Amino acid sequence: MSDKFNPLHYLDKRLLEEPIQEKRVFDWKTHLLKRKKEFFDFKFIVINHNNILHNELLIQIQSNEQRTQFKIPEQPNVKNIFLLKIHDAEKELKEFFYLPNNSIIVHEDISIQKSKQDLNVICNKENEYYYLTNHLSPQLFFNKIEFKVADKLKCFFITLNNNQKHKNQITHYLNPHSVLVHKNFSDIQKEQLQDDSIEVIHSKYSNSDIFYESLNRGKISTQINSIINRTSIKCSTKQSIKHIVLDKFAITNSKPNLIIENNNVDASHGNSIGYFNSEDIFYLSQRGFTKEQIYSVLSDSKLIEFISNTSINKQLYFYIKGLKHK
Amino acid sequence: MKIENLTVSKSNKIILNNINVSFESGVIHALMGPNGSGKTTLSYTIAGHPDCKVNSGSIIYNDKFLLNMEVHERSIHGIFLAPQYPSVIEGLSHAAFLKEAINIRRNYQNLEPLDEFEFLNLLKQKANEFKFDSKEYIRNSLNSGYSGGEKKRNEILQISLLKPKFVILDEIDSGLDIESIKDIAQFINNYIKPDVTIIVISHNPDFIKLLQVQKVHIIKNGKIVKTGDKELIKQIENSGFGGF
Repeated sequence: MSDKFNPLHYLDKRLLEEPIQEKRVFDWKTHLLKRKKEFFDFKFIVINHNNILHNELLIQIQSNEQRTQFKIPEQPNVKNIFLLKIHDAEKELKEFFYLPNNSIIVHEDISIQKSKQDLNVICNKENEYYYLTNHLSPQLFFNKIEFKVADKLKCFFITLNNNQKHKNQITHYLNPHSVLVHKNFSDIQKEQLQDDSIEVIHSKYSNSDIFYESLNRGKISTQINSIINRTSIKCSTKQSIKHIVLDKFAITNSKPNLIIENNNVDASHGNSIGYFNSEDIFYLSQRGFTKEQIYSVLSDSKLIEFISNTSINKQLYFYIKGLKHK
Repeated sequence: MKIENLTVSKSNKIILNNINVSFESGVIHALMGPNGSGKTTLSYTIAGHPDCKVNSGSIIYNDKFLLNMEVHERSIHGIFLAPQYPSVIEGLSHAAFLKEAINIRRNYQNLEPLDEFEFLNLLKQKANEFKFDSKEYIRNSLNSGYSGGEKKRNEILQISLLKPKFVILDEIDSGLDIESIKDIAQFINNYIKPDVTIIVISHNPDFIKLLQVQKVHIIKNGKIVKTGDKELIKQIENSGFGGF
């Protein structure tokens, strides 16, 4: 194994609540079928606090499309945190994640050149999935993510400091009795465009909670569809959307949609577009903060509030804080 | 600070009507008056609240036209308003907030930002001094979960840390128990210096009596109707504001 793929080499200790236990074995297989030049540089880190016996990383590159598969075998009673960093992939990526039970995946993507990503996440029981982006590409970034939710899934999408057009198309396919919590936080800078489309397709007895927050200095368009068809009885779906406008030229379009075809459903939605509390702004100004500093601390505070209920919140906070200032 | 012919309106209604008053430094001033007389509007106008529209008049502070300054500039120049209802901001820790506030001032004075370790020690010391659990205080979001009294103590802590030169305390005594009132009165009496001005807005003559107040200003219907010494307090206690 080359140094480049040594997980310890890239281990980010800020993510660890406790020191790593000594008794750990990493055993993974890497299959790189290079046909041309190496077209992406990625770092995969396996972090485990428990006595993990086996982890497998499988990377496949097929002939005509760039395709990556991450298969992590299930380990009963083991909670894993997996950190995947993609730093500078080129062109298009197609990725598959198969998540074992009780695992947390932190997927950071700060690619500069990549313009399209197609991601399929297949979840088992009680997974948490964090997708953190901090793209700098001037190109349109198109992100298509499909989740197949078997049991419980908490998804967290955090998009910071985009310097480009950014389009996210996220689809959740819920199985019967699936529970989904989807949280989305975006910080959009001036002259940037973000176009988010989130769709939740329910099966019977499934629940979804969608929280969407944005701080907008540029332009954002949000469409959230909760789809409950005739056979999807006894479903529950909630949408809570909050857009905070930070610039007088900012444009915010928000469409919360509940598409319901049966009567046996518990559904609600809230959608607001507004400003930061003017008294909070005055209070901070009165302590010497300029408007830009206020927006910066309030945006940080919103982010911290957003992640405060996550299971790895402390580590994630420091991690995101680091990410934000890259 | 010298205020001349100041007329201020809020929501198109005149609240302060041709106010003339001076707040000398080295003096604790009491600003008293019935509800709706304009006490808070005067303090907010000095601090620069955007809802207070100045129709006419001037405020001169340290030879500068205060009304030409932005709110944050006034703050950096030493104006500190402890509002009646301090903000609660979830997610903004006291440590992050106060470190930034201190470093803004240090930057203005061309000083290096405070070292992280040095700052945290200072903040812990201040938190203990003002009867907060220092570990929790540092981590807690600004005023999150605090009672009215704790919020007021937090304002006093900020004064102690940021060392402003012109302090306006808007009903700082409200919501406080008697021990806390005494502690705050002691802090105010110790804080006054020749280059410091303190304005205390209160309805409570007992609180004013605990302070080394040298001047009492009575405001009524948007005008300063009387300025005098601490003897005015007795008059207020005896006959309320009706006699002014």
